[in-house]
Amino acid sequence: MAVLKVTPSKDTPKRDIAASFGSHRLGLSDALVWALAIFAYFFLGAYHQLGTQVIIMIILALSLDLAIGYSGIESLGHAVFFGIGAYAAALFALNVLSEPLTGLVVGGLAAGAFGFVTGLLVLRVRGLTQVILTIAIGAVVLQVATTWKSVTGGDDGLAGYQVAPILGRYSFDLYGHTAYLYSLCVLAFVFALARILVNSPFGYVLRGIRDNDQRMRMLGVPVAARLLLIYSISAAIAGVAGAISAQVTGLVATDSLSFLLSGNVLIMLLIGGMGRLTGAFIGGIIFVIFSDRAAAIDPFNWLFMLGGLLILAVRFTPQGVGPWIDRMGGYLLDRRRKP
Amino acid sequence: MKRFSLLAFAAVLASLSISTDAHSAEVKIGIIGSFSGPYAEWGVQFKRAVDLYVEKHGGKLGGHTVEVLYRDSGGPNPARAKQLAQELITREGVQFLGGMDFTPNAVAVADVVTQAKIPFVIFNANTADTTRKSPYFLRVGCTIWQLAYGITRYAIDQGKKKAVVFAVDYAPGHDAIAAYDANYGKLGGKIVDVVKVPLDTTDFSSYFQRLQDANADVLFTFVPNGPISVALFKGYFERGLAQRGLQYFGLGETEEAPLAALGQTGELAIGVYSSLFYGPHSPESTANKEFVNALEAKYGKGAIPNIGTVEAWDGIHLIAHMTEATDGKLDGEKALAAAKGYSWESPRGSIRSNGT
Amino acid sequence: MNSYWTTGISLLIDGLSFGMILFLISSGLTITLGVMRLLNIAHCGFAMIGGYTALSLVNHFGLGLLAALPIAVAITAILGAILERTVYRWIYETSALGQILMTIGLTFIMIASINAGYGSLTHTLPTPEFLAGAWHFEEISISAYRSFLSIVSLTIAGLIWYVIEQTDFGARLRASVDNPRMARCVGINVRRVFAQTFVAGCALAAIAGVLGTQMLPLQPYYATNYMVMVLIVVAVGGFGSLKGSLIAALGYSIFDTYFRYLFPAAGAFGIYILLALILSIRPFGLYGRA
Repeated sequence: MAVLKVTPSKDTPKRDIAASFGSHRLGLSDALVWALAIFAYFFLGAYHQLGTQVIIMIILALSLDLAIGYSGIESLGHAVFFGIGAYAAALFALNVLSEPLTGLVVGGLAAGAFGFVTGLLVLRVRGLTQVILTIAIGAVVLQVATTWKSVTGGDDGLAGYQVAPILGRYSFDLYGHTAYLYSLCVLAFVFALARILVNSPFGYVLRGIRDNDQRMRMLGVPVAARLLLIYSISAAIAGVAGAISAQVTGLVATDSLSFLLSGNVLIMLLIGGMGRLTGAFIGGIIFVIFSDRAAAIDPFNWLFMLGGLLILAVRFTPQGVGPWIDRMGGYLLDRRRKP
Repeated sequence: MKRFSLLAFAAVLASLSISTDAHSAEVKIGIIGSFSGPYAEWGVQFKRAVDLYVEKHGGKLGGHTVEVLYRDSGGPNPARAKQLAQELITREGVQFLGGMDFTPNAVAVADVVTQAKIPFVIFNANTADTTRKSPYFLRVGCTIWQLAYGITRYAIDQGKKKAVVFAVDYAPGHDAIAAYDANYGKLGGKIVDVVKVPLDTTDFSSYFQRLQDANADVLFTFVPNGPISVALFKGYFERGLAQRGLQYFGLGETEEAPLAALGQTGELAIGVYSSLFYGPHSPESTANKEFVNALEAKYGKGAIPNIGTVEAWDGIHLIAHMTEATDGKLDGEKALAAAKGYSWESPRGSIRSNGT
Repeated sequence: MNSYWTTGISLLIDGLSFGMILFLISSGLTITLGVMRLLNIAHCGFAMIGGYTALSLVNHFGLGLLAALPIAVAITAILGAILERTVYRWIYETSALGQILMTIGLTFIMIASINAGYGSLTHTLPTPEFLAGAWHFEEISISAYRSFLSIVSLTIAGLIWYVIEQTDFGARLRASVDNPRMARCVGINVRRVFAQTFVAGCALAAIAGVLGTQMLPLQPYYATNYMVMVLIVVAVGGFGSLKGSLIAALGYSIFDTYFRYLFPAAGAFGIYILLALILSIRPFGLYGRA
């Protein structure tokens, strides 16, 4: 089954080839993004709550991009890993240790392990069956979380845990200043990891499997094992996003496992463009900020607009807005380079 | 490939900085409720009452121009409620918070308002111990225990001593079960079966069968208004539970607006008892008539108030009083002190705040 | 009579009637999945539109439920046909994930439009006079409406079976499900067969939407709230298999009804675990093929 594929832009083949070999080098624009994020820390203090939400969603969308965009695993149930990471981190803080960094690792490991187990099932099939299986697993886990009240708190949510200051020094504050920097650091780490991953031979193998798994099998690639590995990694990253959410919100509820969240992340990825890592950034920023603004005004109008936008976006820009921005950026840079 | 979000980022930053300082109101009030999802009726009623109140007072509360910001929790969603409260405080700089239909949502914001020292007027969220979660919580609703007290008492007076409870399986439901159990037991009644229903249930037939098999005289209920209450009410009559001698003693699900939405139930509802502190026709006071008329004048014929409307009306009234006391400045302590012992005439009758 | 038996029989009728409603909704979806490999997330939206249309007919034109039913179904089918000719043309042309996103978008539009038109209150449709209440046989009391519902939907299921197994149209449809390419080669207009089936699926969903408001009350989020449940029924049955959907829907609701009776607070837990087990053994469903 076909996925939304990245097609190289036809107008500048040379740069594209160059880019695909030089893509593990960090460029000027990367530095600027991070500079802007840090700028936001100093000058947009009132928006740190929102900024944290954006960053958490970017991490989740990044994890989904590794599965869908790079490996062709079609998942509409990624919220499961987010939720499991969140519950695991919260339960860990409640019962074992309130240290946040260990909590992150626990959240990631729990989600990764669940990804491994469900991957054995989900990766046996492809296409629509795969999509529905991921939805079904999501529904099952949501049911378990709602029913198992003694552990998860059910519909009341899981709260009452304390999160210790990060590295014993920086405690979470009401305004989200610490939370913003904390999640930004995790994002930087996750992004670096994902970059190394997709530019490694393993990353190229994954893209090969996405485009033609038959051929990769012929080449002697253990396709099933590779897919299971990336699915578990992707699940673990989603779990880390959930763990951050649990730590900065101080509360986990069943909505962190919902189908709606899975759908939203997919929408973000679609807006930003799949199979390009940066799509998660663009989609996450646009989606969270617009839904925040629009939902504050009227949630139903927002739903209507979002519905229309989705249909038009898939129809007219199936690769998301990412390529447009590339092209614009490329145009600007080209002009600068010319004498 | 990497020359990406620079422009997007800049555009977003620009749009944010534009939207920050466009307001000129002296006092900002944040209202959190369900404006979307199956329970959106709560939000609709909250907004109607608050908008009407502010409009009636010419956009000024306690002598200060106000801006009311509504935020949507989309139903029982504690995590979202907490985020919204944080944003309203840190980003919008609200001086007062209000709203809350569901208990889990209210409990979730307790830490936030305590830290920020912002008074939070809970409109509904009627689990008994909710107000103890933060010293900055005030509530203009009621507790389930108050409602349960009246209805269990009435059931006993009718000579009905064998009951079955139908309640939703989350904190308020458990509170209701405890309240029914304690009051009814004390008065000599016996609860023979408790049916806990998950919030997301679709088909209720199994639960009705349990109610039927309990062989009780009395059905006590606690469900939020929405799909569950409609299904409960409809199922009660469809299955002829009334004819089997199981009499309905309910709470909010027997309100006028949801009944009207059920269609044909005019006669159906005869013989159903409920315990609530307000209805559009009770009390039959001038204050209530004016309230109902004002709502209909502004929102049209179908705008029947329910407890959510009157709670929001009283809530914003209390906020107006506190605004006057603080002279429009941010001072949680002073506001709370002013609320203590304050009494006023509401469409539901006279009410007084014990302010703790 | 033994009280276990009476309870058991009452629950069976409950489960059966709910299962048939589920089947009516899922029948259209499974065909779209089987023939076009299209995961139509907006499918439940058509059931919702049918229900709300009937609500308007009942409230504004004073029609009874049974009089409103055919009109509401016809209107929904027409809307389905219009959408099939317009928006769905775009949807067919994109990739699998694109289709899902587009139909999610369509669902959002449906929800927002219904909310704008009808508000957020929960509605049900009035039960006809002669079907109100329950029939009592000895200790058993059976909801009259639920029995009526079971009979009507079993009849419809019979009709569906007849059309698919015994008519020319059915033969063309079966050929298109089994092997679309081959069907095209022997001169079947697969596109047209599909369009007709799509509209029929919308009509079936609308019937369920109108008749089933007692179990699935109308509210704007109808379209998303029940979607996961319907999808799982279709997945367990196998894409494109009406027989599978029927068995899955009935099995789902009857098991669920008994389980909830025995363990009320556990809710849908039991059925979901069972479904997960079935899907892990047979990922393509009971009657599905790879």
